[in-house]
Amino acid sequence: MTNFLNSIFRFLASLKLAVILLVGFAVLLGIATFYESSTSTEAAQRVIYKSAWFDFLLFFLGVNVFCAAMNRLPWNKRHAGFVITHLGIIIILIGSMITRQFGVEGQLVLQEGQAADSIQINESVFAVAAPRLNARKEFDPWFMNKGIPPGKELRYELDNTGIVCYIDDYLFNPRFIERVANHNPQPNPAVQIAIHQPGQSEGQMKEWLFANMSNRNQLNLGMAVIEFRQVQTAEELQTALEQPSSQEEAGPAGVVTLRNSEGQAIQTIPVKNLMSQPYAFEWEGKPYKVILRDFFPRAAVENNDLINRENGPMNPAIRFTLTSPDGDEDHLAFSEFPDLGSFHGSDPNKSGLTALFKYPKENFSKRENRAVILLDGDGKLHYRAASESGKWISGEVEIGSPFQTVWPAVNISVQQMLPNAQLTEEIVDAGENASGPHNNPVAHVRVEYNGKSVERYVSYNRPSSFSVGGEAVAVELGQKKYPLGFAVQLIDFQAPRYPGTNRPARFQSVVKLIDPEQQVEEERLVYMNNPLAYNRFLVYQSGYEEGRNGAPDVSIFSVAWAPGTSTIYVGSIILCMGMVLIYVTRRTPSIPIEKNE
Amino acid sequence: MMRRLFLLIFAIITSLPVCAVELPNNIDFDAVRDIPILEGGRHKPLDTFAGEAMREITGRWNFNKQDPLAYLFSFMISDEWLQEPLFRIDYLPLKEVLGVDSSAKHLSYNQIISNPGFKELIPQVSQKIEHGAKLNRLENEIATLYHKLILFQEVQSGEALTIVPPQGDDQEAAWLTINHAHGYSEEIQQSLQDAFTNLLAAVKANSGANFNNYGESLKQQLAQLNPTLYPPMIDVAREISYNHTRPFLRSWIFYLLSFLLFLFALYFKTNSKLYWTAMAVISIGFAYNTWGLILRSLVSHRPPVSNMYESVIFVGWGIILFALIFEFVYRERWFGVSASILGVGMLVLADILPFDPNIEPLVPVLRSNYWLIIHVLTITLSYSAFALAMGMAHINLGIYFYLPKRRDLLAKFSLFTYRVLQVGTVLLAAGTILGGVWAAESWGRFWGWDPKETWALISLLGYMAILHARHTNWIADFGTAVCSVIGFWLILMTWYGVNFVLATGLHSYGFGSGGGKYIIGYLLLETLFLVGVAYKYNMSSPPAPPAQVQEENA
Repeated sequence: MTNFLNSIFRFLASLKLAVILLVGFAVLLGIATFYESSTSTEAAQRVIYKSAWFDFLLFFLGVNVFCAAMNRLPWNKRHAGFVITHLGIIIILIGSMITRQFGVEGQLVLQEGQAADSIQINESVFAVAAPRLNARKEFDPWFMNKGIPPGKELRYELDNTGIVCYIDDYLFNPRFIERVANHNPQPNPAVQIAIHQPGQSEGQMKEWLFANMSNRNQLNLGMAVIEFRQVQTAEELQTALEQPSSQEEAGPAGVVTLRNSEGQAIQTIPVKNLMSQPYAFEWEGKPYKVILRDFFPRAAVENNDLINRENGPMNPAIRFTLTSPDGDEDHLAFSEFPDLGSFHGSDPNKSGLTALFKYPKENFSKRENRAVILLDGDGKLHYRAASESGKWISGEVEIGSPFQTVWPAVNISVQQMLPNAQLTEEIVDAGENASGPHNNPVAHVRVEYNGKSVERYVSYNRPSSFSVGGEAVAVELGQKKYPLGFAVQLIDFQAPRYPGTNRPARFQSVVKLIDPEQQVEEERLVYMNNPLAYNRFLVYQSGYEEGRNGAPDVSIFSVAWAPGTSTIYVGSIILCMGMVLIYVTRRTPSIPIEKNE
Repeated sequence: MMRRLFLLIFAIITSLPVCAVELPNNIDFDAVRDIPILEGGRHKPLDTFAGEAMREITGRWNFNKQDPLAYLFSFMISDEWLQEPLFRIDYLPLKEVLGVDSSAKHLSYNQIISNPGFKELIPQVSQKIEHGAKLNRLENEIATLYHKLILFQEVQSGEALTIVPPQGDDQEAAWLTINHAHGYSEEIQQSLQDAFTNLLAAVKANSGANFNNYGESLKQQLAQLNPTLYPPMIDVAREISYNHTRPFLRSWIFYLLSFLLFLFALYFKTNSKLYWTAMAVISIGFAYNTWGLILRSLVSHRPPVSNMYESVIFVGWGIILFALIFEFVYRERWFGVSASILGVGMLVLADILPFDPNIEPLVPVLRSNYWLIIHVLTITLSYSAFALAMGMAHINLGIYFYLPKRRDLLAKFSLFTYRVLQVGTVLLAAGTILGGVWAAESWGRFWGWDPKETWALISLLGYMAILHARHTNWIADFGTAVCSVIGFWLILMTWYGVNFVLATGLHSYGFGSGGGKYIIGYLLLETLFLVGVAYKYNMSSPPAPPAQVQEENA
């Protein structure tokens, strides 16, 4: 037994193992850097540098160094450099283990004015809370690393509340895939269109349009809109396909609805009834009168005044005067922007009425870049396309072949038509090596309470509230927070430039350090190479983001507590001294005395 | 190696187009040389700006061996330059896009600007840049060419000459041009414009006396406009002296000379005068090298190791430094031989490789002179030591190849290589650790597995493996020499490859692209050499026994 242990010790202490380990470790690290270059820093950190086997490898290296030093026992003077060097390495490894084990590293993202007393660390947590029951519990989301075996369900119970969460699916890089099939019991016509634009070599773009789904019945390409619509009668089809006689301008049309302060409609007035004479009506026994002032099909603001811009985009607006027993007031309403101020002018709104203006989409689209695909009662497809410049074309659609449009070089075709389309969304995991965007991971969570259950996908770092059985349950899968014990408030983020250029000379943040316990409240300047050190933490500037107004006013700090650093320093000094000592004292081949030739 | 180098230089020089526009040859331009200009984030003399602009436009600092200022002013007075083939085009697919012959080297402004292929691609490329999309090589070349054209245009119109300090005391504010000196009174603006018009008229008339007069008066006017924003004249003068004394050119010429002298000194062993002459000559080269680095630091206000160009020169300096120290210790000619030729190589490479020699402001991460000096200088000096070890190993292998019987020489070289490796490993370990200390002090972490850090560690592990393997007798002296050459490849990867091959991580700033083919060429030649030597070594029987290990009595 002793012999066996002895031979293991001698193997661990051997120089040959040292050489193999050195070369093997170097090769591994080399591969790791190429891996990082071809994927990302985060991936390399997760897969290699921060993995458990890497830790083990470092530990094994330490064991080898330790055994090598012990193998030379008893040490004599000759061994001094050797022992000191190897001691230095061991101390450095111990220091880094301390930092790895006990250290804290996190991020602090602050908007100007914002303060925080905790940081987000690179560790995840699954938290369930029921605020009204005053209950909250954190769980270790180990499934993020290991996955959930198919068919298995993880159970998380919020103690003493009866609330239970189940997770049965976790997707690291989810992709939402839409599937369309023709098995809807209800009629739900849909067309799949294909668009090919010149200059875009990435092939064609395919998209489903659903006539009866208001949020999915048109596709905005930026330069043009493509719409799919169903018509019931032959007349309807004809109106839709026919070029309107007055190409010049769509005239006043639509409906104005007056609403009281509760938002209830009290009067609906067709605009055409306003055209020639004032419109009078009664409300709560009092007489009212509406007089049309202006109609703008293409309203635009110029010099603080509303005008009709001849070639501007469609933006129908109406201006009228409302005469009430309390006096006259001017109202202005936009059909595209119903929330924009209803009354206008200097008079205050005495009547308490607001106006809603609805302009018919049909008129609207006639001088727009818009293609409309129409499905008639017989199941046949037609189309019409109009351009802003007044071009107009219409015809029948043949499935599979492109139809003529009024825009040069844009190729549109209908690939297929389904009368009973069923849209289903499927979620799949693309994995970490997938090309394309990397989406936030999601977990499929079911919350049960009081015999009721609600299930949903919960995104990483997006807290989600489930209302189950009359209780609001907050579920969060996200980064763990670590309390700092003090607060940091961002006063100002600055990026001074090198003179005359846009090149930043440095990024700096003026922060306020607040520690109520120590009664500390002071301003500090943090920039690269000048971190803020407080208690055991080091807060340093690591980046910035542009805020909503485009100005850089979101500052990103990295916050770290590395308890092993001083140990590493000590080890480093010992290591370097040892190396020098070895080289001064080491046996080396001496220069042989030169022979005379 | 040298032959290849000269062929290359020859090829570059002979490919310059012959210039048809006559340059003003009676003017020496000294009157305007030291007018400060604020461009690229720092104050510099007009002299530097002219050189940088010419280098950007034509690809050569000393275009046709003429004063860059002569070109600068000639551009402003003559439209004939629009017809001159100034713009060098190397990339073949770009030539295809432009529809020019693949043998065409230079094109003129008008040729490019009216080129349908170029016109078609420019909007696409600029759109891509606007959206922050990644450019492919062709698009990159087009963008670069476009920038050259714009710079040329700006020089021609005078819009590039931001030599008028604005009013006020805002140090960050951009400087103005003569024609758009906003904020100054009508009279001042007019008199500036008059002075400049006169200056250009003097260039047109090729009148040196007039140019000097008007140049001096313009310079004085500019200096009086806003003294608070004007840089001290001593800085400007220093930079001009840096530009014109060409200290690194001088130093490599002396290194080359000393190389020959060391070779003679080797041959005539008994002649110690020859040896000391060689030492004196290499010291002169070293002095020029040192002086150049000091001047550059004074001009840039930072240690001279913040981009690839500077670090190549600094490594050359370090090689000579170590060689001088070792020569004083051992009095062997071999350190001088290998260091002098390596020094020439480094300084010449710095000029040949497409590294940007311009002095540019630092990125925010590096703005800490204290740590930059301590960490980067230590690391870079370790590269020098390893380069010298690589040089010594080459001579060592050469002896195996040509004089395999000379055991005495071989043993000596093993010691030398080993000694230099020792210096290198200590410096590399210390430098890497100091980098960790910098990171710990300013970013809160000692080690983060950043690619540059990791490669420094890989190099260190590699050299440690060599030293340990030598100790186990796995590799003998021959193996140590071969490994010292291969170990330097790790250094090349750390030094150059992380920035150019991996192109990721915290350290990949300030290092443009290019030079890859030279490195690959070097690696191929080196591999061939090693294979050849190893073959010969195995053939020569009996294989040399491991060198005797004795207690050194030094």
